Amino acid sequence: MNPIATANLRSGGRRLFAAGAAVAVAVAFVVAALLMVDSFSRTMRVQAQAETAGADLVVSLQDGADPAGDPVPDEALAQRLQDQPGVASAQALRNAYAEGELGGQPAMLRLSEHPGHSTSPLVSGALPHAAGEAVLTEDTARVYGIGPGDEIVVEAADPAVTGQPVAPETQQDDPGPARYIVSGIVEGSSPYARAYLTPAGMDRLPVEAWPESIRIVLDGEAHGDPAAQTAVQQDVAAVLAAATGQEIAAMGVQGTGIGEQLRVQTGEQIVEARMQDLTGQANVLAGVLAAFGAVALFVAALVIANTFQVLVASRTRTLALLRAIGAARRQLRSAMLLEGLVLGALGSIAGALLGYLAALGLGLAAGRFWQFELEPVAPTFAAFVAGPAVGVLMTVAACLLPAHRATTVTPMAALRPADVEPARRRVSWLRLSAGVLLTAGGFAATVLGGMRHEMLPAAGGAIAGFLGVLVLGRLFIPPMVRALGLLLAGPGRFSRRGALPRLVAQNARQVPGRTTATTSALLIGVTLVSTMTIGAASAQASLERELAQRLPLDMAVGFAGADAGDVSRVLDGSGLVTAEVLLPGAAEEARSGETQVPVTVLAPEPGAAETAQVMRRTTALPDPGTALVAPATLQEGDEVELAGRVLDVEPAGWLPAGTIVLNPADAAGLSFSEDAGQLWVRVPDDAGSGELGRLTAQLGEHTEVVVAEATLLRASYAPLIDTVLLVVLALLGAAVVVAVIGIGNTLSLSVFERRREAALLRAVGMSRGGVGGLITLEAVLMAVVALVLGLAAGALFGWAGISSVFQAEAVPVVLAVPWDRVAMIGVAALGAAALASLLPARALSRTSPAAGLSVD
Amino acid sequence: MTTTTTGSRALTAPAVRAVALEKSYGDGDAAVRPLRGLSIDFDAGRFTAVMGPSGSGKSTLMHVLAGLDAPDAGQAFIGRREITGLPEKQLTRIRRDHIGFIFQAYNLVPSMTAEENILLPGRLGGARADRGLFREITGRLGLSARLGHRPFELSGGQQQRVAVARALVSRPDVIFADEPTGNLDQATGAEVLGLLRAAVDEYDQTVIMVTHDVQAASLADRAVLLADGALAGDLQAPDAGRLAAAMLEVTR
Repeated sequence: MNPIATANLRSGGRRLFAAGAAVAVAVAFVVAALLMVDSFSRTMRVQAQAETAGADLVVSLQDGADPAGDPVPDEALAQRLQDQPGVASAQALRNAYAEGELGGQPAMLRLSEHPGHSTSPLVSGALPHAAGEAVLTEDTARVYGIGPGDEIVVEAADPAVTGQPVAPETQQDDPGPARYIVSGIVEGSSPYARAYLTPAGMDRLPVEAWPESIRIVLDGEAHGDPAAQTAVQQDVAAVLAAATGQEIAAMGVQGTGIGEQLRVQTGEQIVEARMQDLTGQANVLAGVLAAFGAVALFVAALVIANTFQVLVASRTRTLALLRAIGAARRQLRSAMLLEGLVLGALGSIAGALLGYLAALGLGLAAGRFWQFELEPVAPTFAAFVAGPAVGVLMTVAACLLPAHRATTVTPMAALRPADVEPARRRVSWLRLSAGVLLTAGGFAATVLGGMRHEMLPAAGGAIAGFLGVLVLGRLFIPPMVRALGLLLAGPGRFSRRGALPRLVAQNARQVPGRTTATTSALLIGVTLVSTMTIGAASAQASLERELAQRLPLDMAVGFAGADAGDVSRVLDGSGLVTAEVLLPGAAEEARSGETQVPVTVLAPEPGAAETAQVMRRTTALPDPGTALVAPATLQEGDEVELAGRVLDVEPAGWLPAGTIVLNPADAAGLSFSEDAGQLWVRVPDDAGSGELGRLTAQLGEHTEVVVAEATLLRASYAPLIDTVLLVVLALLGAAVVVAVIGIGNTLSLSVFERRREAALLRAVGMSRGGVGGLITLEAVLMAVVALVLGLAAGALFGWAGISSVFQAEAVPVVLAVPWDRVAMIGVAALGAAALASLLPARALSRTSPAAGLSVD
Repeated sequence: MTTTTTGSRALTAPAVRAVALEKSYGDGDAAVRPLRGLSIDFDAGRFTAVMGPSGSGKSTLMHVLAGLDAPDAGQAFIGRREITGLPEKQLTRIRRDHIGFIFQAYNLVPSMTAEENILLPGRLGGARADRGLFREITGRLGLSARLGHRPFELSGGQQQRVAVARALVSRPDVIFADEPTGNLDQATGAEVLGLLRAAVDEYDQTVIMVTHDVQAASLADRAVLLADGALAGDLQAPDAGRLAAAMLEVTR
């Protein structure tokens, strides 16, 4: 091994440890992301496989087929297939949706026939045998807190609530609710409360059950044999075609189509078809994670490059000595790269382990906290080879520039102790032009990408532009720190108060390189976090505004005939009401063209305080001469005639069916009463879809009309925004660590450089506290500059990022700056700077006045 | 001024030679001309001290002769090989294979042990150090028990001894010593000078030492005096009194 590299590694010590930690964090991120994506897609496959539940062939409706059409995969068709050669069984499965109760709580239920050959393992209890028994999926049991022995009640259909057509005979008989006892729990998850019944149990349902599929199991050896499945698939298709008189068509992974309604798929085809649907999702997930991984690697690369610059600077004397006694430039460079390689390898191995542990933890957390059961995380080749390889490559690449710098040390530097700081090199033309090009081009691409909603130029431009800022930092960061110092010092050259800031200002001019390096380390962290924070806030604000635009009201509860007290009790008990207003209504007949329909007329006062409280946008209320009409209330038409007036029609999707809203000016002469009115409700922004679902189900027991589309939509965005905030928090933590590492590095370099300066200051009479204060004040002023630059860049990147993700037509983007979180970033940055300066400040303040004045 | 003997030059080529060296830095008022057409020969197997007041050009001369700095004009030779005009790569190889260095301070790589420091030139690609020679020299310099120590665990004198051992073990054509006693107390300085003397007497090395210490220079076989970038004196077997007088003369 290269003797220089060995010695370097020995002396790098703590500084190398910090850089190694940065490598480990970045690699851990990449490895964890790869493992999670792998686990996610395996989960999807297992779920898809569970879907086929051990069947060899499945006859089901094609996508877009009419479930009430003909033919459907029903018992009659199953009978015909039962006698086919090679077929052991052909079971027609039915499916139903109904309202009901689980353990006394109202719920929307999906009820399916339990396939006899199901592979979903039992978690507890037994499979259903009697008509009055049912099994639940694990998720359902957990959410509703019930288990074997508890009761399920399935209510008879109510067309107004479920919106499903009801078979005539059940409606006539009005059989009342059906009751089942939970016999067991099976594995599985679904967005509905889900129960499986026996065929006899399905017959007992008070609602219509729809044929969903025919599951075919093959005889003996042929069971599970792909070749046999394909052969029988063709036979089955032929039988179905003959029975229905329709054509057979091959549809790839969608199986074999029969006409426009039916299809026959092998189990494998069903899994593949599901996977094709899901690959899109998995790819998006992988893309997002890859982007974060790239950011993590980029930040780590900057930290490593920075660390190695510091190392080169602190080793100048040694490097010069080595050059003097005959080390070739190539040897110094390869020693440095070798050092990077070792560091990268060690960091990457640690990172891979860390990433594996993180993925394991996330997998467990997903199951425990988010009810999302993932397949166990398993080491993959890609994660454990590609992740560390990328980490090593990145580390070595980040060492290239410092390694080059190491070779430019002249051997002369070894001969005498350096006296006065030599004049710092000016920014080279190459650096200047590269910086200007990167900055201008990068920011232009970012702005254009944001304006034209294209992600690639926005993201690429942001990275290029930020690199440009770092390259050019030497030009404007020291003057900014200097200006800040002078500003703080105030006028008066001889004032005592201004002495420290004035010294800081002078140092910024004297050592622009060090000032820039320290500030850049913080700048990276601040930019990253503020981009995420401002981006997330802008996304939320844009979605909120769009939602308020489309759906200005959260919930409207009509209680024609119901007891207003019951409704109020339910609402108050839910804890989900931030404002409510009872609007009196008038029962009227509205005429449009030839038709005349009964409607409920409301006339809220747009200017009233309670209206403004309950609505998210009162400008949605009509002007005089216009009527807001709920959809499906009137025939198509531009005008409506109401109590002798003719009004312009404006459709309003957010109103309950049969509702018309007027301006109070148009409502004169109508007789309003509270009984015919509606309760308009505003719910908290962070209400979950589960809570809202329960509330609507409870309200449904008392009233007929509930509209909560906006709240449900908002609730469906909430987890997304929460996730983004979680990422922001994680990044905030990581960025603070990175920033502390970065500033710590450059400040500890400054200790090395500044011992003489500190001694001189002490010799001419500065107190220990003064020297320490100088270092801390310097760090804090640099942090302020980093904050200003980072927040500006973060606002631009955040806006561009969100704007490039959203389509212009769908959601116009607004820039929102969450000041509370920005303040948190500020406190964190200043705190990190002060913290990182503590050790160097202490070390320097202890310099004895005499020590620094002699050479070495 | 004193006389110059040329006796040994007829027999062997000089170990190091400077021919009409010119060097200047800066321009205008700040211009410095440390070397003004300086020519000088250094014989092999002898201990030569280069003396002169500050700014006389003695350090620049050493930098040029050791291939650390390039002159504006003139030639420098190590043995028969001209080193002026050589590319950096070859200069590096010449430093590694043919030149030993002892500096005033910061002679050793701090993260390497004494032994690693001594063997470093060989491990950088030079001739493999002779094990026997290594043991003999470290024994002679009293370093045997300190070989595993790092520089900060050694005294100043011990550090300089390690530097001397490094220069001796690779058997260079010439050893350049730049104020080797500048950082040491009297006794330790005398000890290091004794080692340089021994390098010439016992190991037949060529030593060129830059110093402004008259006591140190009086141990050399020959002392050359520089003033304003030119030769101002050349004494064989100098004693401290003659040297001090000569120094006084050139600084006047």
